Amino acid sequence: MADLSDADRFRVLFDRHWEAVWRFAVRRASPSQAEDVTAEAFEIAWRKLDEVPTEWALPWLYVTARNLLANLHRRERHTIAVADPAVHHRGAPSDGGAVDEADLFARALARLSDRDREVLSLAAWEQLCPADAARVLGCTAATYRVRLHRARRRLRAALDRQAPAARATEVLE
Amino acid sequence: MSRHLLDDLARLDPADQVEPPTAADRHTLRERIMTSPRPRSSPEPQPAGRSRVPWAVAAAGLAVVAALAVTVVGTTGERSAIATPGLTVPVDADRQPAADTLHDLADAAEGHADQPELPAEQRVTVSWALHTSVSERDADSEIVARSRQWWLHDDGTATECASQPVAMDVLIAQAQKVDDVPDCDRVAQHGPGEHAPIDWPATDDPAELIAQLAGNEELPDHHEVADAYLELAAKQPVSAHDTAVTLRALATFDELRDYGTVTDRAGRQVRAVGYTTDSGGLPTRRLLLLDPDTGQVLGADQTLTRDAGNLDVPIPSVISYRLHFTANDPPPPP
Repeated sequence: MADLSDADRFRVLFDRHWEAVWRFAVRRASPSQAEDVTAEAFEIAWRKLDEVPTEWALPWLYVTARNLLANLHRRERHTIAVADPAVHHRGAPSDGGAVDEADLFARALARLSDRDREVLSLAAWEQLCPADAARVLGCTAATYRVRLHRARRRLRAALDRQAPAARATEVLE
Repeated sequence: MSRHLLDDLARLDPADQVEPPTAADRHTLRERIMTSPRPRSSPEPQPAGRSRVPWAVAAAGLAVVAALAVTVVGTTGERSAIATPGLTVPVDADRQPAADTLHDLADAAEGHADQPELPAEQRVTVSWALHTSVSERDADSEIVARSRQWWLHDDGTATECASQPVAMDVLIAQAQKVDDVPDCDRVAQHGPGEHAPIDWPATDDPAELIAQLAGNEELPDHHEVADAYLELAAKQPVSAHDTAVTLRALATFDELRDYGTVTDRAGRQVRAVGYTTDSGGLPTRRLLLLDPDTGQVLGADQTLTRDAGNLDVPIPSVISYRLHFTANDPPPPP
């Protein structure tokens, strides 16, 4: 049985970060897989509580979850892929409905590499600063900044390519 | 669509489309996890539970080789003075902006643009740093000195040679013999991609380089650009072209000051430019030590200028420095 300080520390860690880790996982896996990965990430955190850095506990948990997701996807022969916002759990973007912003982003994101999507996700959805995002990816902050800049540029270009098609669809409707 | 792309993307978070487990389920999970056994102590102690002061991690981007770990401050009230290295440049009155000097160095770098890029194994880095952890009860400081050299292989793997933990003057003397086969205290093999090079912006435009280093919408300040450049130079040799563009980017910041030609800790004549920042919590002067002939980064150091905080060091005090040495004829990997 753990002593009280460890138990208290873990409760704080869990209560503070569980949702963020679950959201991280559910962007990259199915809901049931995300629950399993999140639970396993915190089990590891509990076992290695002394190794969880106080100042960047959340990036540490993301790294742990990311490794678990990589193992999961490796078993399933897939790579880690950040979900498209419109496709994820609400139907494909080209299902005949009006072309809205989510559809545009989904189509644009689909044109990007997994690495670009991951970099954009860490900034837009995980809301990490460059230093923490770099920790998650295992690269330097400078590299992350450059990757993010390029990913944004490619997303912008992909959106620009989508825009004429979207306007044409709206006209037809 | 708003001006900020990431803000637009943030509003389309796929996690918002999924119902999370209930609070009761989470509580059950949390308590279940806490009934599982865990080791009483980690086999490899980490600095968890303390806040490490940010400015003490100047060399954090380098692989930890470890050496000369000396606990200087143990418990409350039991302190002994820390002998810090001498200053490379005095801390004195304000200096002139470094823009002209940086442009001159950029011109010098461009004069070497036709030379082939250097492989990583032609670079040896020696570093010294005072690392301090501060908790509510005490502050623990240790000196970390190290030397490292890398060999990158065609298959993406890497070999790392770490130095014997010896005094800094010995480390520097060893590193100066960069063409000799190194005497490694530890040799580590790294898998593909583990020592991946930094993806530096490929551009001729200093403003574009700054924009790319921003990553996000907010442009970086002089400290962030200089820090990124030092991080790059610590990791890998920088091409003449990238050196020139980066120096011109730094020249756009008035905060960069010219400290003139000085002698570095290896006895080399270098051009020092620097700035003062309190981004790490204490006013610190950061110097970039540049090769006057090529503009390449030959070293860097950080000096506390006005306040030592919880550290038992005099003011001013150097809290970290590093030196880079480049081989003409690099030795084979150990």
